[in-house]
Amino acid sequence: MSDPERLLDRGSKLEARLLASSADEAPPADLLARTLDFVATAPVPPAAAPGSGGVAAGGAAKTGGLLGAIAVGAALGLVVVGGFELAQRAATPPGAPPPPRAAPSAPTPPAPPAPPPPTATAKAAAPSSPPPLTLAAELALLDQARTALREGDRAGARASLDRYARQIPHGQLAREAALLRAEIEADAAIDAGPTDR
Amino acid sequence: MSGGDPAATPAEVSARVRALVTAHFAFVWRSLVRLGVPRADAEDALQQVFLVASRKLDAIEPGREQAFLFGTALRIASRARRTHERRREVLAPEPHEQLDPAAGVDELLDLGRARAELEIILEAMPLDVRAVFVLFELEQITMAEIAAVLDVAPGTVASRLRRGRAHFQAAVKRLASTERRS
Repeated sequence: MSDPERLLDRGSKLEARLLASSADEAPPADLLARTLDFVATAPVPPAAAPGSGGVAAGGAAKTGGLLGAIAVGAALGLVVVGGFELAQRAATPPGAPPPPRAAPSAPTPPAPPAPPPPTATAKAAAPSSPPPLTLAAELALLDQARTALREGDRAGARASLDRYARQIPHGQLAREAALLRAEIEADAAIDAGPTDR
Repeated sequence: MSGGDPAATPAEVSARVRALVTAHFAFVWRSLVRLGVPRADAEDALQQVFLVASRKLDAIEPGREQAFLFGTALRIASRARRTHERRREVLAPEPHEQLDPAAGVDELLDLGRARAELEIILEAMPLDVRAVFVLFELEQITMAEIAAVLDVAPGTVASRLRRGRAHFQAAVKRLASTERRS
């Protein structure tokens, strides 16, 4: 196959100028560092096939970060402890210093009994009107998305993430939401096979 | 992350993925943007491409990394474009769509404006044609290599390139004539 000359070389001045404008374009300066950071913390694919019993734990591990830790904690029966921490975080007004951690959050069985909720603190922190969306609400939306993805319902998963983005544009779990969306699109791209156009 | 080679250690897998990113991130980012992914979404799409690559390492033959990444970018761009089009139905158009059609030649030759005009022209191309046009005219890849990257017959590449060039040259002519009239 004999290749024709490029328009960049033999086209009109305007053609060449338009093409050169893109040829010169470089990605943002720190994109490489951010992408390397992403792949270093990227979700780990499940060892088991989708739909098998191993997916839930794999999915939790894939998500990583707080969401994954909470899901793993729940799997180990530590949901109460996780819920306590969530309640503390959710009740913390924006800008306030984080509450002191009474105990390490690492789920090391056997788990100690969960401390009773700090009733006085919770009452004191309870606002007169509920906050727009709590961390628990963020978690619920992401959990919906993950459940939908696990069940093969990518449209439903996307819809949950869209709702999350609309309702909580700068949520505390934005990173987890981004990772989950990346998972959805990556799965879609893998399943698409030949170019989907 | 998928290791591909079942004997590969996690460290080896991680090293291969990092090498893949380092060698190809700029190509993939450019490809995504040239295939119509808005710059604001390009980083997310880039991450998706490398997430796919990390899961499909075993499917990437040595020496075919660029082909795999471009094919993946094409699929992700296809979806991102559809999402963007839906979003545009409710949001204001992007800045480059608000360009003054009566702008002068000097402004047209300005880098930013030239880039915006090129994007408008590319946007109107069918994605399969656009992919060949971008790879040949902008990435300066040979037609034989493009056929391998896209896994299509050489004649198909030639045909799509002809269509892409015809589309591009007609659009540039219209643009030049608009500039002359203004």
